[in-house]
Amino acid sequence: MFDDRELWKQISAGDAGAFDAWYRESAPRLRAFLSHLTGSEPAADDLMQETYTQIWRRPQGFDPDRGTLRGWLFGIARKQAAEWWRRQRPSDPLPDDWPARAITETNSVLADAFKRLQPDERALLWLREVEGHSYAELAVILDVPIGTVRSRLFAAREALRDVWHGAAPMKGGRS
Amino acid sequence: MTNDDPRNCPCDETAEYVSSLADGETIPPTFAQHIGACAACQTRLTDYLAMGAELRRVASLEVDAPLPALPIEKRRTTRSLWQKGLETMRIPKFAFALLILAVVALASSLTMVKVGAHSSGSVLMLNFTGPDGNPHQCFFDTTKKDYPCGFFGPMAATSVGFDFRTLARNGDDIQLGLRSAAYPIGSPEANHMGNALVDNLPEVRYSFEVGQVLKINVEGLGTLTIKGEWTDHVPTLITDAQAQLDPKPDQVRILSPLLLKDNQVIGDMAGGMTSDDDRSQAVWINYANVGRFLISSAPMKGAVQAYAQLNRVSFQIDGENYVLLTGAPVSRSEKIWVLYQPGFKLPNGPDNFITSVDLKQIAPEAVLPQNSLGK
Repeated sequence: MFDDRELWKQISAGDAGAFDAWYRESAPRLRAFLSHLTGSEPAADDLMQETYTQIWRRPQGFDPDRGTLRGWLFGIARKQAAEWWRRQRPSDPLPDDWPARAITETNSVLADAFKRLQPDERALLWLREVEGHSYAELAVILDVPIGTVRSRLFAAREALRDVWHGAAPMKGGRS
Repeated sequence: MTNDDPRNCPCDETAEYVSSLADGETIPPTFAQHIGACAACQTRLTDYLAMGAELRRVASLEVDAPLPALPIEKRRTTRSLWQKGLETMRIPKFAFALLILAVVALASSLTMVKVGAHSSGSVLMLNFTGPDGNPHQCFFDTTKKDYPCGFFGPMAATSVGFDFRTLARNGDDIQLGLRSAAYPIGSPEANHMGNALVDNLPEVRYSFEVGQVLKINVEGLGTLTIKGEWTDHVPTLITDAQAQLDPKPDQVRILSPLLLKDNQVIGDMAGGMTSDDDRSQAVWINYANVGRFLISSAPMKGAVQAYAQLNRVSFQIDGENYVLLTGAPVSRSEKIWVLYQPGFKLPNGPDNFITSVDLKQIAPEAVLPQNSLGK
């Protein structure tokens, strides 16, 4: 674990060793997040690389008084993923491993259902359920009021529950 | 009526609070009371909790995958070992800019012992391919500090320049530094491709494990795929994609040349090596306080005919006998040509270097009519 202020001080000062250590500690979870957000492991790797590269090149914007470094990192990655989704053409085929990988490797019906949610819903649920961000942190990451976080989480859960129970048609996972 | 009766159960209004409850939040007493008595709301809560647990379980399966290399370019400018190394390189920046064959290390088919990904091998063989799929290689002796490898030349219809160096090794983990440039062939930048250009670009650092594939996006080129293997030595001939003991037709290959004049050593280029591959090119050897020797398989204006036999080239200039001794056979033909330019020195360049060049670019005055240069 890292002390956010001290770590940020080192990264801002160009300490490549500190940055690399932070990368190794935080990247696996970020990649899992991006992988589920995009449905593509190569895209997740690219976005993860872009996220860290952007932070390393321009270490600006993190305010320890507003949130955690991890939350800030995931917020940047979420924006990168949203931009990635915008670049995808509606006619683009789904990734080859979509969503079979979740079934074959995790044997999880829920993970399959999760991949059918809208990207924003997946991002929010993942950040809450897997990363454990509080409502306040999610409000900072998403730049929305806490009440909106609450209502969106509920909507995302309902969407997942519907798909999970087969009560709703597939949304296709495309925004 | 009971709370199970949908007509009496404000589940729609309560559902959002079920979600909050699943997140560990406290909720207003009215809704808390309803949830306690409503089977539907409790089922919803159970579902929410199960969904969260399942997502965390799935996530737990995914966080152990190996990390890809992270590019970290230096933000602060310091005088690096690489820069120090450049100052002592045998091949000058200027000469690099002139290179057409521009090869420091290229693919080699020499037999060598590949010692596996996990080994005590000290020489890293870096295999890299661009979008065109053509293989290239660099070799790094990781026991030595600052062991750079450069590649300058065409790749996938693009003029590229790569300066690789190994920064650190920890077992099979290698930290690689790379400066890279890629420009369309024919562009002004491509015409000046070389160390002088690439050296001014930021160095990007990559961590990768020998045996694993590293993919790097090079702006202007596309994906550069790199894979490392350990070998037991740096191959002797690293200048030729199909390196054999016999030179190729029209090739002039010079390894570690020692120059004798009337049986006295006047120049020594230990370790330097290069080759030209056709008659429009020449090997350029520059010896300090001696001058420039251009050696080609084709006649050149002002050149003398030399006699090449195995690893020695004999020629006579102004009545004095010269012998160039090298580490391998020089040419298939016994007749090659040597143009000597005494006292030649590159402005701001090092005194000793060896490289291959397009004769038209570096000594157009020596080019004979086209029919003399044709194959």
